[in-house]
Parts: sequence; structure tokens; C-alpha cells
Amino acid sequence: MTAARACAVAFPVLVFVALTSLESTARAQDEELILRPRHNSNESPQNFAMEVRIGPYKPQIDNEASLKGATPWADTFRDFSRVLVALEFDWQAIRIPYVGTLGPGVSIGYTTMSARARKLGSDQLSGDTTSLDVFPMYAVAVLRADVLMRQAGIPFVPYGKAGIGYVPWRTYTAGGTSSVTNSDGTTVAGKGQTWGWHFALGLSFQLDIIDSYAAKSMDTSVGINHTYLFGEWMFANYNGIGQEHPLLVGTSTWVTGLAFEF
Amino acid sequence: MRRVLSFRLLPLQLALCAVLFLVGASKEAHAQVTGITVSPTITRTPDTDHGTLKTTDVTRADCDNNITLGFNLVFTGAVSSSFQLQVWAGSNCADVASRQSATATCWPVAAGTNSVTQTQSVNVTIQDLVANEIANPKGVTFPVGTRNTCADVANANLGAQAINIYFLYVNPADLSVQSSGGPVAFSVAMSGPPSPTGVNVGEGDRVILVGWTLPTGTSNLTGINMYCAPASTVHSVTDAGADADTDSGTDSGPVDAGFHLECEDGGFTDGGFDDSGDATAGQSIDGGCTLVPNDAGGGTPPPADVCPTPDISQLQVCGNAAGQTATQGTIKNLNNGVQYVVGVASYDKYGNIGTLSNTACATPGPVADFLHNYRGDGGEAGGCTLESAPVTGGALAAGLSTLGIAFIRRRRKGKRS
Repeated sequence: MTAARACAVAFPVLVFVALTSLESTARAQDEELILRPRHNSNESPQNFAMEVRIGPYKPQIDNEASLKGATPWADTFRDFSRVLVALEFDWQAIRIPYVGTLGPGVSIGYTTMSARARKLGSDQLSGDTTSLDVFPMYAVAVLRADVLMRQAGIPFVPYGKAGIGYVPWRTYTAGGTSSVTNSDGTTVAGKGQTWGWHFALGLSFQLDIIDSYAAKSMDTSVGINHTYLFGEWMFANYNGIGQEHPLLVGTSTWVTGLAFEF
Repeated sequence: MRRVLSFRLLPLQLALCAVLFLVGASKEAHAQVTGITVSPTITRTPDTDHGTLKTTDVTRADCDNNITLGFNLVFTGAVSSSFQLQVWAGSNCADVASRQSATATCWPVAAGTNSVTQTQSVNVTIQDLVANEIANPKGVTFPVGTRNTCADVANANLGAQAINIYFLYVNPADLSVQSSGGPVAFSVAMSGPPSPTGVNVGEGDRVILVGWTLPTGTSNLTGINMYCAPASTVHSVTDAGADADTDSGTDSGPVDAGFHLECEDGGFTDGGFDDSGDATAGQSIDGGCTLVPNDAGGGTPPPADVCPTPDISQLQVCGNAAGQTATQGTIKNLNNGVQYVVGVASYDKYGNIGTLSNTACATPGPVADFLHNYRGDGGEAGGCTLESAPVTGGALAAGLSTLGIAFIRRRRKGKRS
């Protein structure tokens, strides 16, 4: 079993164990009343957050050392960022007094790039397209420092995320998944997955202050406690944990979007 | 005295006879059919595959196969040999004028019969049903003298037509209708929708990308078939002296550029688009055809820039784009280096196929896609399969399950508090 495959097997187990232990910890802390109440008395309970995320995405494929400076990604797809869209779901498992919430989160995203393919051995464009689909996913621990918002009414919530990333990818033409035949006759398929570390720092602006009446109404009617507009720097260091030949589909980019706590 | 009495009773006897005669005549007059019930179960013989269509949907294929429709009738009241059961198609056929006037809208679809039983079976062929669809005037006696063929009706491009079948119990003397059954409504579509135009092709790795412009005003279009064949296995229908025979023994019809195909049975219409990429002069092509130079002195295949314009019978369905709005599609699993001729045709929900569009030629070939460029530049990734995707799914499922459980617990706790 390769290191990558071992990691692939271990990942869900680790995630499950981590999340379960966090849940147990939170329950114990609740029961012991160590922490402050996790929500204001005039709000509905708040335990989760969801983010709708969008941002530019330019994979760092051409940084691969074995390419020795060649830029096949930029040469094929042209050198500009594509759009990443993603969803993130966080569980605010515990509340740390005078700091904020801490808990696990998972996210799944998607970005794609395509271009007309050239005929082999020619500069002439073919009628076919070549495409690369990337599905960035990660599981992270999320710390949201909302103490200033809660204690002083300052509508900004800084936050940080750290965890592990997993990115399936596939390159294809109209005929299906691309493939290349090596000189030894073996065939390389144009699909795989890349592991890596995921870090992010961001700042959320609480939109409730724009219309507090509407915010309270939304909490009463659908249970959404707070709504945020956020900006985030994301370092998706997907360089292949334990993998021999990963496709470097990670990136360093900024992301923006809306977040909802409920 | 007895004789006198006898004569005195004569008027009474005559009166009695008259009464008996009138009673008998009255009984005869009241022996009539008061209703005809048509069973909703209609049979098709032969019972060919009709897909998801209803029994009352009639297609060009039904006409070509000369399907016979079987009806079962039940007569209420007394039938009489002096009346005739007639079966008509069209609209308002119970009116005499709809059957006999110069502006008749009905035509007979079965021979009239005087030997009617209380439960009567009636057969109507689809060819008789559509025979007079485009004729005017329509009212004629059965069988129709010069009947329109399926092709005649299809070529009229009438679109989907509503045709009713009437079962009429008719007095032959004045053609009046004593009773009628039906009408049974049929939807008859004999021709496919207009075909797309402006077919263009793009070449890829073992694929041809096909684009087209949809015809306007084609609400009955439900999809587009893409047709193809190796260009070397077809011939242009516009070639001077081209042999239109598509499958009849040895065929020596000329093809472009000084070549002709010699085929055994099954030749032209079985081009075998996926495995005939090596068609060269004198070589056997899929389907038993051999490309032979006209001068019989050797030579080379037709030049690649010659694109034949075959008819639809020479091509195979190589792909499909379902829906009313598709304007492009991809033909896959072709052979690189082989020139293919490609065209498209519309079809409707009845399976009727329209005429072939313009054709275009393309030669699939390898392309420098991203993986090729990447590996060519020294990149080492790839080769993995997505078999471990379920692991990813497992991770996400584990995470989401835990979060879901937490969500439910928290909500319950929140409600309790």
C-alpha cells in the first residue's frame, strides 16, 4: 500500500475520530458548565456555520520540479486564474471563554479550465477541447474569535482554519479521460488525487448591524443567528502528503463569500 | 245458411289480415341497431415494437410494416342484413356529405359488410388508414383505386394529423346512418421533422464534434441523430451515374475520384465505422465492399479533401442528442486517420426521421491535450484512478454524519432549553 493510499484510508477514520472526540469534549464541557452559555438568552441556539465561497484559483501545477521550468498548464490553458466555488460547513463544537468558537469544518469546491487542443505535432487547433476539473476538499479546525463582536459590539470576527486537504482531479477531452502511453507501453490516465495541508486566515464582517431588525427576524423565523461577509486568504498547500508524484493542484489565493451562523 | 255466414265474415277476416300485416311490418320496422360500442382494446398485427407510443399512435414504420389494427364491436339492438357496416376515416364521417360530396372529408378504410353479428371484429390496415390522407376529394368506395403509398403521405410532410375512425351502420339505399360507433381517435405522423442545417465538424482524438443549426418552428422535434460512415465506403448520390442501389448483390456504383466500390450483399449500408480505418485501394472494407480504381490499374484511395454526399441509407447512426435544443454532439470511438462523412437528421416522438442534413467530412486524429503536454514536459503525476473516490466520499460522509448528528442533538437540546 502506498503512502498516499494509506493516507487515503486513514483520512476518513481520523476525521471521524477527531469529530467524535470533539463532540464528546463539547458535551462534557457543557455538562460541567465550564464554559459560558453558548448563546445569548435572546437568540436561538447557535452551533453551526455555513459558508458560500468564491474566489480565483490558479493551480500551481507548473511549479512541479520535474518540469524544470516548463509550463504545460499555462501553455495549454493560458496563464490566468479560474473561478473556484465552494461550500463549507462548520460545527462550532465548543465555545472558548473570551475567545470564540472552535470546531471542525468540511468543504467541497469545484473549478474547471478548458481550452482548444492543438493537433498533435502541429500548431493547428483541432476541433477538440482539453479540460481539467479540480475538486478541492478539506477538513479543518476552525477558530472564530467573535468575542469582540459579542462583548463590545464590534462587527468584525477574525478567524483561522487549519487542516488537511484532498483534491480529486481529472483531465479529459471530448472523447473522455485523457491518457498517455509511455515508452514502455504502460498507459497513464489523466485522473488522480492530491493530498496536502490547508490553512486560512480571514476576517468576517457581521451584516446584522446593517439591519438589526431583519437579523432578529431571520433568527426568529429560520434560526440564522448571524450573517457575515467575509474575506479570506487561503493557502491550499496541496503538495501531496506521502505521495510520490502528485499533481500540484493547490494554490494560494483569496476567497470571499457569505457566512451564516445558526 | 253456413255459406251466408261465411261471406258475412269476410270483411272481418280481411280486417284481421290487415292488422296482422301491419303488426308484422311494425315489428320489422322496430328491428334496428340502437348503438355500437367499440372496445378500447385495439390489437396490432404483427405486434411490432411500438416503444412507449400508444396503440393509437401511427408512424411511418407502422405504415411500411403495414400493421393491421383489430377492433371489436358490440351491437345493441337487432342487426339486419339489409343494413351494412362501413368503416370510415376522417372527420364528421357520420354526415353523408362528409362521405360523398365533392368536399368529402372521409374515406373508407374497410370493405362494407352486410353479414353483421352482435359482436363483430373489424380489421383496418394502417396503409388503408393513411391512404387518402393527402387526397382530395377523399370520399371514394373501398378499396381505393389508386391508393397513396406510405412514401407519398410521408413526402407530403403533413406533420402529426388527427384521424378518427368511425364504425357506421348504414342504409345502403340512402347512405343514412342508423347507428355509429366511435370515433376512435388516431394520431398519425408519417414524416420526421425538418432537419438541421449548417452542419459543421471538428476533429478530435478518436472523436468528431458535430454542430448544427436547428430548424425553426419544429415543436415536434424530440432529438437529433448523428450519422456517419467512413468516406471511403459511401458514394455521392449526386455523382453522375451513381448507382442508388444500396444493398443488392454486387454493386459497382461509381464513387468519387475515379474509384468505385464492389460489394457483396450487405455492402454499402454496413460501413462499420469503427473498424474500417484502413481502407485502401483493393482492400476489403467492412461489409464486404472493396475499393477499386476505375481504371483497374492500381492507384490510391480518393484524396482526403474529397467529401462525398451520400444519402441517409449509406450511413449509420453514430450518436444521438436528445432534446429540442441540442445544437452539438460528439461522435466517439472512431478511428484516427480515417476520413468520415457526417450528417444529422431530426426525429420526432413517433420515431419518424427527417431528411438528412448537409454532410461534412472530418478526420479524427490525436491532439496535444493537457496530459500530453504535461507528461511531455516531464510531469510525473497521473495514472491514478478514482477508485479511492469512495474513500473521499467516506471521509466526507463521516464528517457530515458527525456534523449532522451534532446538528440534530444541538437542535433538540435547544428546544428542550
